[in-house]
Amino acid sequence: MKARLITAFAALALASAGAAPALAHHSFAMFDFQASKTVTGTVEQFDWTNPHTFIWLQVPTASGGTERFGFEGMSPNYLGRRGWSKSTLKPGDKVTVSYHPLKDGSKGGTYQKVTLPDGKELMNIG
Amino acid sequence: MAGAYPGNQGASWADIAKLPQINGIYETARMSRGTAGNRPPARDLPPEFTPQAQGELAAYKAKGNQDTDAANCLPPGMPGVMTQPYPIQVLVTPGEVTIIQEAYMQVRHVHTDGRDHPADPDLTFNGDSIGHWEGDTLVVDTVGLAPQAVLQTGVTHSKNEHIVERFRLSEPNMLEIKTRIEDPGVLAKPWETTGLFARHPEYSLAEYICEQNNRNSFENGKAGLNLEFKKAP
Repeated sequence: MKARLITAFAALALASAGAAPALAHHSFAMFDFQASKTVTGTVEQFDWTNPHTFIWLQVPTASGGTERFGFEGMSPNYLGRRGWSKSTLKPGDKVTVSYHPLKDGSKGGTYQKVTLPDGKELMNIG
Repeated sequence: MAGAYPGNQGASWADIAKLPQINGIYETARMSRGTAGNRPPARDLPPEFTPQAQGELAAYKAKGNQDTDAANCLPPGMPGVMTQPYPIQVLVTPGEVTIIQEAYMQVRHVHTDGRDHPADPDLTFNGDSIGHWEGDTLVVDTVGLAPQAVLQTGVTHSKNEHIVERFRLSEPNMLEIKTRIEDPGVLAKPWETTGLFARHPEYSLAEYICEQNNRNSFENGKAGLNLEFKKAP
């Protein structure tokens, strides 16, 4: 599954598996596609915006507080044709996010999969 | 040049009605779903560059840049704007075929009224395009490409870059675009590719304002992601 997702993401990044000019909005060099992490938290905000959607999550810390994570995903144009909408994630929703982390250690990355409060899973690429 | 091409050139709505109906919204078939079907990408060969262009490309790669101006929301121009992972819309009207790209909200105006290219066209991202019909095939000829119109990242195309695209319905709901790019001095031989686009009548083109929430701005050659939280307005 992981390999398939990486392949799909890489294909989008290159915008073509053929030899056509390879251009997408940006490179994915800042993400570690070899690593996959999962966090559960409360949705603070869902940016249904171009060129990318963002999930902002407040995640509980060991000391009893919370810390903010930010996750980049595909555009509303892409996701809107694949089962997502601007109201898929609402502030206060408890969700689990699987993601490829940022290489620089910042709290966040690019999301792969979101598990909604009702258990439904939505993929970023698929 | 007016009237230089034989046969039906779509000069009127009545003439257009007799041409293949290429009007519609299409998505590159390599990632398309639904009734029009998914197709694997064509097994195109990569471009072959002249030694000079190879040297430029090697020097660019040696710099280790991770990203391109597209991360700063600059549209790719031709030919890259035709290979985006977003739909395109083709509108056939008397005297013009208009191709709208959802990505970066770009528009190509293909003049089919028989005019020729300007003798000295302004250089633009999408170039100057003229088209004519050869039976069931729309032939689009593009010149006048700005330096920022990307042939391949790391290679500078010349003012002589010349793109010919041949549009036809290879199946009732599949638009085939065969593209041939010439740029003597940069390409060692013409670069030929084939794109398949699946028709999606159920789609509408959506807005794509790249500057709306771009957090991938590209500086000093390094790709990045700005995770500074901003409360939604």
